[in-house]
Amino acid sequence: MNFRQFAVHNVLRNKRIYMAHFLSSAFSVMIFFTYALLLFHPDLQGELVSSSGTLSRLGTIGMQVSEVIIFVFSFFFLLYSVGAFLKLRKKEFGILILLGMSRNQLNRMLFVENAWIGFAALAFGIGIGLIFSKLILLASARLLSIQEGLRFYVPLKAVLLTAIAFGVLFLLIASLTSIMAGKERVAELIRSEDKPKPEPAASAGLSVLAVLLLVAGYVIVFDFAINRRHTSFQQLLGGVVLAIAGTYLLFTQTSVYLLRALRGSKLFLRRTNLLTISELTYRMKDNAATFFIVAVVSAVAFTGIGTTLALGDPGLASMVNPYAYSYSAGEDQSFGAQQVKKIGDELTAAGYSYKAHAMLPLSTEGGYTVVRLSEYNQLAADLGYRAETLGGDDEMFLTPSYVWQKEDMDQAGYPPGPVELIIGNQKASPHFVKYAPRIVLPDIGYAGTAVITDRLFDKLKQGYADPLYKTYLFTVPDWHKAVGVSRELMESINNDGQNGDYLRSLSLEWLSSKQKNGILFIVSGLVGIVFFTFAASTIYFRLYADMDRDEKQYGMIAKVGLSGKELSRIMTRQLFLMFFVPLAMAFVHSTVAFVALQRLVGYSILANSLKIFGAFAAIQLAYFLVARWRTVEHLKRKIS
Amino acid sequence: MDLLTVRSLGKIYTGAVSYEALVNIDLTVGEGEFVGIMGPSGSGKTTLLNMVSTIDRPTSGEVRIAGEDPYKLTYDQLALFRRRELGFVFQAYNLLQTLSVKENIVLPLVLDGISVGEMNRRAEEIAEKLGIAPIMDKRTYEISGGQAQRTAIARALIHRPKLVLADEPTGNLDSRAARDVMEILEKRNDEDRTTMLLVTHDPAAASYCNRVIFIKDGRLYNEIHCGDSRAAFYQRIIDLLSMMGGMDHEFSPVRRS
Repeated sequence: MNFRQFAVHNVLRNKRIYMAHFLSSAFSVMIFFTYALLLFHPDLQGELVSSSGTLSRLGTIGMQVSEVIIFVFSFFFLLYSVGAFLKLRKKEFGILILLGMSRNQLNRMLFVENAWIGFAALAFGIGIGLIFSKLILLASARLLSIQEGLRFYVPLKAVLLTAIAFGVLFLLIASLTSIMAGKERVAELIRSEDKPKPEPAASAGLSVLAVLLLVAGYVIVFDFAINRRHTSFQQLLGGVVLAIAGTYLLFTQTSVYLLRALRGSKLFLRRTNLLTISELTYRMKDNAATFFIVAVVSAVAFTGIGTTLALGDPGLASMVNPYAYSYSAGEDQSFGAQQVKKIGDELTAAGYSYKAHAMLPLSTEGGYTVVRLSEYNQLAADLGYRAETLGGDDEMFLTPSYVWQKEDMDQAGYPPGPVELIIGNQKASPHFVKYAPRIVLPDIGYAGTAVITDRLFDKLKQGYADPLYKTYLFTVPDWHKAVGVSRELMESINNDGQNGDYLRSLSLEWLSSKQKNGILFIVSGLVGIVFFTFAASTIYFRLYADMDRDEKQYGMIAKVGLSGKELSRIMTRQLFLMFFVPLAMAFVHSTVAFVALQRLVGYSILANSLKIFGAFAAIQLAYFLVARWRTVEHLKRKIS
Repeated sequence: MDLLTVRSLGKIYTGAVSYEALVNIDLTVGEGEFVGIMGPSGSGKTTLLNMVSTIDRPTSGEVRIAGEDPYKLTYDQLALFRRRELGFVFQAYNLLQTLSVKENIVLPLVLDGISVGEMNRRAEEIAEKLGIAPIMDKRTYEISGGQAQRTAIARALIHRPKLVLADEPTGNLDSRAARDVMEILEKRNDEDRTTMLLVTHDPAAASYCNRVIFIKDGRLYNEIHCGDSRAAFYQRIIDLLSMMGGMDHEFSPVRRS
């Protein structure tokens, strides 16, 4: 056995300890590789296959940025994982140093070990990534709504990039481990395992402060969302920082404080409570940092995914403009009517039912744009909104044409008193009687849209000297499916250069926003998964670090008399708290974020938020059950 | 010639309550001597051994092993020093679980970069002497406590150190395995002239020494030498222990004939 063999034996025979570290490494490699695979995909170069160039540039930038984020993140994650793993081996290092291992040799051993693990993780991660790359390409094509799908290709560049990037990363980590192994004294190293820990302390003041900080953070975030201080990013940042600080104190101080308070109560001496609570107090202090990281990181992941899901929601597109097609006819009205008929025929031929009605907006000198009540009611009926009525020519009502306008009007309401409407030589001063908070007449009247009676409209129209432009608005129930026909219509109407007319298609706009957000979705989804894996692995490392102590502890208690059932109950409770306390905290944080987000968009994001929470809670539950089963089985076997 | 000299050694553990574990200890061990250190729990015997074995740093005083002050060496010089001049035996064996018995034994040679042929030759030689030749390829969890301690002793001896330091080597063993271990140590001391320093609270183990030093409350208390008879030495150790107090109930003082 020479020195190299010795180091290799150390890894191969210590599988259990190395496994967690190895899997985390391999997972990071796999995610990075998946990204690289998309980044270098021939169909994703320059132009995305089925849509515009700006989007593909944006997408590529997004991918590059997140590739860097993953890399930086992997670095810290792996460093943490190595640190946890070195901690477990303190005693081993103590023995080796005592036997006369020089610093050089210790460094070399750690280097060789880590280089091996890194190399294996690299091979394993790329291997798994290759096997699933077909699947990944299929899935991402679907998410990006590229209808032909992405071709499978041999990702040589991606393999190369991953190998080089992570090769460097693993070498860096391997050389950092020897520094991390540290200069602790031999005596400390050898004793590290059986040194009794002091009882954790917590201060009442800091415990209260934790709650105050959390509340303050939440209030500031809500204030940001409710009062729409969109520009004040410092405020949002401040709220988030306060909430994070509060979370830290909550885990390090408040939790320990509460558990200690429990010690004094009668509950403490009831059956296994004594064990559970005293164990928890010690664990809590150890775990506080872990819990904090897990809670914050998970909250970031949930909020990120939730926000992107909200952006990709069809609701966002139709919130801006509820109509499947908006056809702005040109000067020549008869040609316009012809085109409308043509659009209708093509839609019918393609199997889509539709309703189309015209809108003729007139802008007045006072700033308001006026529209006929009958037109409004026709369109409102198309959209399924109720019809409005006006008592006479001196009445009108206000309605928004843009999302931002709706937000303003929702708050400000309609202005009181008569309003002067002037078009040319025609004048009228009706007053607002109500506000219809639905976007029925989109994209007109920056200063606001007033709906007036048909008779008043016709009177004002006489003063209008410029040519009249009609807009035809189409409602199609299945608009988001009509991508093919929309593309043909756009092609024929917007490119014929006749009459200055213009067609807008909601399905294509939605598609392009989905394309943009599909990339965002993959990006945030994958980053979210990486973050969540990091969080889960962090818990696993903690469990693992405590395993030996648990074995001794429960071995001792088992001799005093502890049934398998009781052991399982104690462990279940402890693990349950370890897995779900940080998750619950993350849920609370992201709920606040989602509630704030809900204030900013007009459609419900409840379903999406619940889906995210449900999915992650399910993953965590599965993870908890496996960990519990493994731990309890392991302890039972060790004890008996 | 003196292999180990300890001059006015003191150790204070600082903390919330500082605690003086060793006070002004002077000690000399000659080459080839087998010295035992005894004393009640908390008397400072393990602390003393840790100072001598370079595991822990003294607060005051001086330690010299074969003329060298290990605390004046650099980190790497100290590593070399431990690797070549010192051997350690612990109560808890401290074998590496990832290695086989043989690999554990040759570890000091591996660290020193000795050739594989020489390594195997020496491993066989020491295994033969210690009676562990049949278990050389087993892993550490497959062997008994006595075998584990003999493996640890083989590891402590294979590089022919000048000084072997043993901290309660029989503490985890039954009386028969303990006797085997002590006989091995005695024989190695006798045949190879290896100097040994042994910390123990077991009078039977201590009776294998040439000389036993007693420590109480961090100070030297007494010292007795082995005469011609091991049985008589054993009796004197027990007498002295009961005189030191704490053990009156366990041993009724018996007069030597």
